[in-house]
Amino acid sequence: MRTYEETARRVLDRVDEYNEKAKKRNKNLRIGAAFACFAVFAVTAVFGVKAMMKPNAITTEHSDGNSVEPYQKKYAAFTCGSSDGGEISVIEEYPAWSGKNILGFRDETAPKTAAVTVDGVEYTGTYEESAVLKNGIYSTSVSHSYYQKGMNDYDIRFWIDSKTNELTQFEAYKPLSESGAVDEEKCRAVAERTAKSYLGDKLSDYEIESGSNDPYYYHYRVCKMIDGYRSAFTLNIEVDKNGMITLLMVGNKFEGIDSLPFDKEEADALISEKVKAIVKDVKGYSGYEYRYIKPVALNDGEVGAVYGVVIRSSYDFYDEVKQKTLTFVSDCIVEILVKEQ
Amino acid sequence: MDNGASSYRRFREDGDAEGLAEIIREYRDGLIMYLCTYVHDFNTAEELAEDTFVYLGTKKPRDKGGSAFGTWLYAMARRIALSYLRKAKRRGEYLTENCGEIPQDEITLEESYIREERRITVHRAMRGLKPEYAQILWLVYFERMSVKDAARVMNKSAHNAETLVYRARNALKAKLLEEGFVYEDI
Repeated sequence: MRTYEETARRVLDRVDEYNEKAKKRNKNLRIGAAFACFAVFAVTAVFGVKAMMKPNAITTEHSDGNSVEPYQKKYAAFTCGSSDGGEISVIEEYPAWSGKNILGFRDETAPKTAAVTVDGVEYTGTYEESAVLKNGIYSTSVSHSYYQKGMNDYDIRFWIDSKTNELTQFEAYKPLSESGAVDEEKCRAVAERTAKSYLGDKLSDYEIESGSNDPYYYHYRVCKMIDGYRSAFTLNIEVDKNGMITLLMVGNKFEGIDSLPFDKEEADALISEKVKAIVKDVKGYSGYEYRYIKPVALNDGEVGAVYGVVIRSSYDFYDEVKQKTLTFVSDCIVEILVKEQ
Repeated sequence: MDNGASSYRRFREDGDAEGLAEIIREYRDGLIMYLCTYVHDFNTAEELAEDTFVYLGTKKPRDKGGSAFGTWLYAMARRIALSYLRKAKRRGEYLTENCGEIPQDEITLEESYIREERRITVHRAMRGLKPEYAQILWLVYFERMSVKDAARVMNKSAHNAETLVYRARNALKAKLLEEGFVYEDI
């Protein structure tokens, strides 16, 4: 092991070496710089509407008119980066969280107690706090969390959607002091039973991932498939070796939709128009392609689809300082939301 | 030194190399131990810690001030470790799990950095946990970060980190009990 002095000397030598190389590069080397830019735009490309959505503060208000303390959140931003070897580096900047409690806020209008039934057992919890849940760019909701201590040795915490009163998340905690492996068959039966109670018997409409690569929990994940696309509607279940559900998460739930609620060709044409508008001032634009299509439930109860569109551009330019021709290359992901208007 | 922020400012804005050296002195050992939970190899962890400082010294990224300097530095080290692991996977290299004898270098560092025998026992028990458990326990119990800061380092929501700490503690207790230890402080 190196001493602290050795490490410091090595680091400072490498920094000096890097700086020297950077100077030389500017004089002698012909290097094309490759840049990649991840920009996540939220473009509501609703048939005919062209609004830009840029959320940075969410205020909730209940139907009875009582406003709730605004929940401020700045989302993660992405910056461009480059490296000498032509590799792409994307540096994520962490959001500057504001507020003392980033978990949520007190909502005085929330019911003081609530009950849910999971795998045939009823749990009654006391209100703790409320939180804004954000599902990508397409929907937000407020959930109230409830806590029950010491139910069959487990401490229970669950979240209820403030509008629909449906369970959005359930967690059971228990100190683990026993050894022994997870019984996969037993756990799978519990997970399937619970999934069916939420989704009905037709689990074949869903993509299922399950297994136990964890010594303590069996994991079961269900994703609703729509027209062959993985939707944002997911159900995550975790079962411990006692057969107890320790985690249940319902994500972006929607029902009664088995196919995209719009004509795909029409959507393709609209996206093409939208991309044209986005790239009209982009130098060296060379084309676009879909990276993913994700059906989503929207705030108003409708279903849409988020298209992850990769927009490519590339052009040569002459760098006056370096006195060389360099190539600028950019792959930019734009999320476009399509829904029936 | 205010946990490195002013040293970094001196280095970044005034080119004072001593500022970077102070950061290395303050954070090197903890970073190595933390990175061990990712790569399970002391020498690689030492190299990655060094790469983190070199990154700081060459790219001079801007500390946005959204979190403590240490939190920011650990998050950077984590990204460098993940990048290393991705490259290792592409090259078809398989990393060894935490098993077998602990290298002498790691024992030396444990003794100098952690110091207390019972905390060393806990640290060794962490080697048998899921990496994610070991990572968050290191940040919260050895680096004394708040769960919120540990969440930032590990790029998780505060709630997820809270849950992870809870589970990691349980797993650690089980591990210690298996080995015949009782550690009430965890």
